[in-house]
Amino acid sequence: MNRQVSLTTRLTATALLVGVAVIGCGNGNAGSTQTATQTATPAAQSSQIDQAGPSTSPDASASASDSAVPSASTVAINPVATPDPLDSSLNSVNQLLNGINSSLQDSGSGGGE
Amino acid sequence: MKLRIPALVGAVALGSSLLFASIGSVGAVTTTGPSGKGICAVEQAAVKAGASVEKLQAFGNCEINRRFATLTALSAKITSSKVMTSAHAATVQSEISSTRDGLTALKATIDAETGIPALRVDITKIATQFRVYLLVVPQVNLTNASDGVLASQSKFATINTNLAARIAAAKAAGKDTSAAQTDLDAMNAADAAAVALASPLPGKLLPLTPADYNGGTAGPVITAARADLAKAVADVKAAVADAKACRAALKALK
Repeated sequence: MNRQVSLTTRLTATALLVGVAVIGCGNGNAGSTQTATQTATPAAQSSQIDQAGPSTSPDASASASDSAVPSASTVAINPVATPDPLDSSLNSVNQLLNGINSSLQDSGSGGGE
Repeated sequence: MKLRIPALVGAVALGSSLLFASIGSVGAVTTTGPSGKGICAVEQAAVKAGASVEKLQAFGNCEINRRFATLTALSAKITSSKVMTSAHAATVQSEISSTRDGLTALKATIDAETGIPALRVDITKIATQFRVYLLVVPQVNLTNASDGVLASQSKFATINTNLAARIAAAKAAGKDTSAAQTDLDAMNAADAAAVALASPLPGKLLPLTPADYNGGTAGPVITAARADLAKAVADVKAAVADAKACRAALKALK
């Protein structure tokens, strides 16, 4: 009987200790876990940006664009670009140049007489 | 995430290569393959090994057929050209048509010929009477190139309007626009020079005939036209660079 009580007491005590330890560990990480959950996207972004380094701004903006909460810096990185109409005109001149060069090349007597 | 940049670069490179490949194939007249030099090498070798009526006819027909292929490609190029004027297109299409008719008649003659000496004369005429590669091909392509240079005029007029408005706005804001104006003037001068070089070329090229080529007068005209167009291309490129410099000068004022 005494043995049974003793065994039960030990088991209970062990269970209590384990429970206290689990709760203690849980409280110890509770703050950071909660923070990580609440700010998962910015934390993930910043870590990815840090890993990518300063030379990969396209990567940083790509990861930012994937996030659910776009940051203000993302907006600054990717402003809505208005196309310059001059580019369109210059591109059409370049296309003309390609055609002219092609015709000049084809004007040779590669086929014989 | 790091994989995205290489993947993106790869996709852009593939897209660009496909784009450039498609652009490059449009309007290109093949000088090898079905219409190119050497396509009748087997028939030619057979004749050299021992001439016969059949071998000469085969060689002649092969040479005529590859010219037909070239003329078809030229005609398609004219049809698809976005720069060739309708008048020039009509002239060269007519030339192609008459050349095709002449070659068709010569083919009938060759097919009916029974003597080797006569066949040799007929085969020589494939080149000398039509000058498909030495005259018609350059005429079409150099006229198309000339019209391309002339077409750049309207593009640069649009660019000039755009940049002149920006210069006026900057000037109204009290900025010193002298550098931008110099670049714009240079652009217009370069384009004018290109147009001046290209304008007279179709008028010189299109009247040329196989007889002119055989007489030695067409070759120098074609060579000079090619050189003038190379200069015109350089002028157009310079005009593009001037337009970009003008824009950069205006941006620097802000």
